[in-house]
Amino acid sequence: MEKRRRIDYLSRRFWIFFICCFAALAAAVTLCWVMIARSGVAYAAGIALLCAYAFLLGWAYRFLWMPHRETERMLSLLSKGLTFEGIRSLPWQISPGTESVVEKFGEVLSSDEAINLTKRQAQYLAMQNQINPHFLYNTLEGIRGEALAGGNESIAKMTETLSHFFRYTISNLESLVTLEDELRNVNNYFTIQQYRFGDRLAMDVDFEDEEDRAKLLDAKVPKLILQPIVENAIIHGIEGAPGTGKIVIRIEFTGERLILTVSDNGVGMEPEKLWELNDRMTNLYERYSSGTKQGGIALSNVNSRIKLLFGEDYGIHIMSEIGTGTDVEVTLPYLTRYDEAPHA
Amino acid sequence: MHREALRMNNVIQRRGGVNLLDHFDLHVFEGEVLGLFFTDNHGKEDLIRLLLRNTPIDYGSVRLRGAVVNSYRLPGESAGAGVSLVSRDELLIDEMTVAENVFVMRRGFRKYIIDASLLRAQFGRFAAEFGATVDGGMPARDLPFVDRLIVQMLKAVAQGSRLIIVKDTGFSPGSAEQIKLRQHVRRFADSGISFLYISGDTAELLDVCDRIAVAERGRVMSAVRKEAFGERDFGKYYFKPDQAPFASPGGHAGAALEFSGVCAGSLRDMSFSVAEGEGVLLWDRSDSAIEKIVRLLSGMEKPASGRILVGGAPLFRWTGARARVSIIRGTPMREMVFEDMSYLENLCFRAADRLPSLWRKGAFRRLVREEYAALVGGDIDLLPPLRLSDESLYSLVYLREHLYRPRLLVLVRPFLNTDIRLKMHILSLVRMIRDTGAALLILDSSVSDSSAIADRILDINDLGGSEGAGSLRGVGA
Repeated sequence: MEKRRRIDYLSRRFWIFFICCFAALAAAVTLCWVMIARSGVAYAAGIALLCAYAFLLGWAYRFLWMPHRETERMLSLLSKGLTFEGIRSLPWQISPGTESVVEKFGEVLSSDEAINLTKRQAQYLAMQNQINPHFLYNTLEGIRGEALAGGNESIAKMTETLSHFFRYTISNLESLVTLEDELRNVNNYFTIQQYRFGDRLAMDVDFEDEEDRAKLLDAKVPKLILQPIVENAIIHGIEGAPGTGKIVIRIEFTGERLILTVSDNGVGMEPEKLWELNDRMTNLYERYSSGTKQGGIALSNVNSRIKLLFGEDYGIHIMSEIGTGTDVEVTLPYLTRYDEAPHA
Repeated sequence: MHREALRMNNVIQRRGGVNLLDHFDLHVFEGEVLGLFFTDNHGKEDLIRLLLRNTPIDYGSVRLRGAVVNSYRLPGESAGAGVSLVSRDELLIDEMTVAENVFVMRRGFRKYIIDASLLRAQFGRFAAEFGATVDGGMPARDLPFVDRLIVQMLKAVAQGSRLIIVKDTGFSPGSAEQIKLRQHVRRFADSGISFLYISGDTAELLDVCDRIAVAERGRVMSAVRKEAFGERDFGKYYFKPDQAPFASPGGHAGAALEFSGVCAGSLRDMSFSVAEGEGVLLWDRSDSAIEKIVRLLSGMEKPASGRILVGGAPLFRWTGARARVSIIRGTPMREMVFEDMSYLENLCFRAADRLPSLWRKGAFRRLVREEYAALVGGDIDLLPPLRLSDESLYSLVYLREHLYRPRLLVLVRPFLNTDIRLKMHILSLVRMIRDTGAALLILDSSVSDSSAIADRILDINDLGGSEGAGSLRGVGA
């Protein structure tokens, strides 16, 4: 796009116009002052005139210049993909037209459609194939039956776990589930992976305060947020590392927030890769991208859903050190079953 | 349940087109001691300023105990309530008693008549709550350094702060002072006070903290819990200089500096010597004698008894620059540069003491410019050198002494508040100065970094009547 001259911006023309008006006003005030002084009318009139002018200047600064500067700042944050809430929460708008555009834009960004889009992406990421669920369950049940009939308990157990995992992933379409359900799904996924890794893989769920355990298991969290992170930890962290891979899911409760940290002792990440990944976690437009960029799609998707559901204050922060492991910290609001689910 | 004392959420702070803090995410729980290690010092001072003064941020939010105190949606700067800084630079008023420093010198104190005995009694009860045994009636100037830090912590709590930032204490890990400070920090933390413990020494953080976060380029890159301290490699953050011994021109022939039975203030009959071309680290664990020695060596104070000899002659017989003793302090580098002079003039400033014609003869300055341009590049043409990076600033201050060729260079806490990169840079600058034959006296309360530039370490507590010198490997190294 051709770079515009500054004068091509309407706001710039307005400012020039305002400055000219104020300059003309200043000249008029000065002229009046001189006339008042010469005609011998009381100085009070002149001082009142000056006060009125100063008041007008102050008003223009407070109610025109400062809002303009703040709007520009918020628009600049929006253009960098950092926030949309900033522009939406401004107590003023440029005109009724721009207000309705902002409103419409906001509706599009936070609509159920956007949430459903990311939800579908999550399911796709978990499944990687659009398989007819009923056909899949029936087939798995069939395999399980055959395995039991043949006396192979191990295959029967594995098939049952897989069936539960798929059932949770694709059948249950609500946005929020209990933390207990989410942990059970992660455990199913871990059990399936253990058939592959054997003793090379271990997982622990650690409640920071055991007294809160029952309360926290009942807390509402977005569906399918932990499993993609655990999957990432196994594929990108543990698989390439020697020795026993350990995943720890730590659950902390601050009274208002849940902090879920998934740590692995895998290969870790190069600082540059970590930097890029965290940048993507904070970029607004990543939430609506098709996910064509390589790496970190699952984490990006989880982060997008959390931010869409709960706002900018929540989401994912990744910390890593090459050779030592990675921590993925998920921050969520603490919601009980009685709290209304946003966008649910 | 652990309530959060501090939560920084995706904070971006930009100045002059540079992201000082770049998506800075951090939380500290109530009663937690969170260590913060900056690998490059990027954004360190800005973070502290932000927490203390709520300086405007470009994005993100800061919450203290759940309440938003700073956000990109809240323009303007305000006094941050509930956060205090404890550091070497935070001063108590020396002439006032400890109790007065804690209770009188705080926001909101309204009384006009102060009952000293009541204040002392109140202080005694208050200090006892945190296990502090400082005498409230003692003037602050008489406090050992570690007690000054503890009094600062008490003052912070008395002011209502629930989050205390401890910055660069400079104590050697394992020293009695560091152990005492750790015990008190734990005691405060047990009563619900949270700490953000910032240090450039990971050994100190490992000793004190519940969790350590590592920041780089203004962003938290990793965090380690206490139970995983053993699994993480903090060794890579240690300052590991090339241990090749310094070449000491002159073969330590005579004494560049000699203290003989010096008594002054807390110094009692202090005797030691530094040979020509030698590097000696004077280790002051309690940090109580360094300032006194600096005052004596800079000629600001004379000893009550005893002799100080420089190059074999009494220090006070030398006039002006002839003693050729230079002193470089660790942190206030910017204060050691004249802002109304160009880089080259700053560089020549000390050397002109020995060669006054340097100012008159442009040819001399051109020679200096040619020689040092090879070391500092384009910086040499800066006019004035206000916008120098930390590294360039250290270069200017040290190269000024390199040009001056002092007989004795005194370094006061040379590595305080520096990151690994800067430490390596200082090391190379010190090597250059020592190659000119200068003797080196390092005054520091920590041996962990300074031992890298010393041939010998002298424990100041052992310097009673005799020198009590240990070899570099003998004392604490």
